Amino acid sequence: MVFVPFTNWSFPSGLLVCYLLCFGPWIPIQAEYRIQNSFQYDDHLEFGLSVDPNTSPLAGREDYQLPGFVNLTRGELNWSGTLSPRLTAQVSGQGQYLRYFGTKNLHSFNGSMAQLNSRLRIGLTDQLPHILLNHQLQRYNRVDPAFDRWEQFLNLGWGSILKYTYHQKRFDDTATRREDFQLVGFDRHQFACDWRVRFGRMLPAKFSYRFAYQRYQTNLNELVRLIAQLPRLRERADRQHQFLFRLPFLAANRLIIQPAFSHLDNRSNTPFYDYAISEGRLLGFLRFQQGQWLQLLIGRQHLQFPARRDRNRAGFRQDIQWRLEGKMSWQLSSHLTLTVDYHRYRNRTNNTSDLLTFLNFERNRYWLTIEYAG
Amino acid sequence: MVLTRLVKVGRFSFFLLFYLFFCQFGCSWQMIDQSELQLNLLAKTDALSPSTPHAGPILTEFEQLQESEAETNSSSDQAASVCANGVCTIY
Repeated sequence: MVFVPFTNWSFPSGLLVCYLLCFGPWIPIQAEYRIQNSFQYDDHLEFGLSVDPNTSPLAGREDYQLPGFVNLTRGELNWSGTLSPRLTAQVSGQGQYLRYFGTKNLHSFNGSMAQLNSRLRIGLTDQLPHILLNHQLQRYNRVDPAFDRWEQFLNLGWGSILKYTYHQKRFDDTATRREDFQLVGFDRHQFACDWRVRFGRMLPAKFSYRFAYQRYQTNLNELVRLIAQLPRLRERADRQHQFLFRLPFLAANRLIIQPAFSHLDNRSNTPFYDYAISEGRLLGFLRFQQGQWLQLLIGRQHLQFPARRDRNRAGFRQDIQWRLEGKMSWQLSSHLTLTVDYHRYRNRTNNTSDLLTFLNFERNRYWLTIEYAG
Repeated sequence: MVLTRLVKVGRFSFFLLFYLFFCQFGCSWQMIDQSELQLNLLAKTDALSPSTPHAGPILTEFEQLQESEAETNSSSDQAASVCANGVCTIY
């Protein structure tokens, strides 16, 4: 079922067909496509599923870290065209299939995702930014139906300066209200404001501010409720403020260095969900030639839950996460691109609860992606 | 205490925005590619030139990468969260 934005009304899935029929024929065909295949090795596969001892069929208290391989095949087709000098439309469809190889019953998480995306760009004048309207519909299917869901996004933007986003997530399984940690539907409204600041001849710095209001459905998180010894909660609603700042500078002809900082403050109607995340990043981008580059990133995140009291020295829960990320892209021909990625995360929490010991972990991911674009 | 802090931050933000908006320091606002709004500080003459021509191709490729990663990551709101099957949660 597909839900109408801002409501809980649902349409039958035939809407998908109508969607294509309505948008497709309008547009003079200018088609592009991309096919992508990636192989990934992860030594902490599907973190969350594999560690949550109360909900995961894979969970094991002694060895919660599962290694395994993931193969992702993705295809994308874009139609775009100019309806009038001031109106451009784009429709795209994307499908992907995910397969797991590894220990235990990982195949139960094999699944697919289908996405339909329509975009309108309206230029009212030659000077002012365009108005952008975008709708995206996603369907996720798994062998394990607990994760089957619809997601949709509605975006309204004025260039890249102002943007409103509505995000809706609905799981199929709302009737049984499985008490899985992550199966929580929500409605999210986000307002974003971005602008650039240029100091003399330096590269422009970027500032962003985001405000979001997110209301969750009620099948929320029995595990956390038990850990925190909270009474049954009323419907959870959060307000978020986020600031981002990044300042790239040209260190050499082929090298950009970019320090970045972001801070997110989440305030909930239930103080248990109040948290703040501060993150510092240093990124290096080295370009060899067109389509051939290397990117390295080191980052440190600090997560604080001021209302989650603990017996530790600080008196409340804090997590520190270090991230090291590397990415190299190599354009083999005008159509073919090879990308290699490596991510390493190291997380430490000061929480003394046995139930959250799995948050002290190290995770390594390696993947190789080959893409053909036409 | 929180209220006092909020008032201070609010007052500071208001004056900062006021000064920036009216460019009290001799700065200028500029529209880039009919899409982005840029505030040019310090050197007014530079504001007329397009964005750092010497950085050209590397900057374009760098910006494209940043934007595509921002779309897939949605940045630090997932920073300290854990993700499984595309569903992310902060424990």
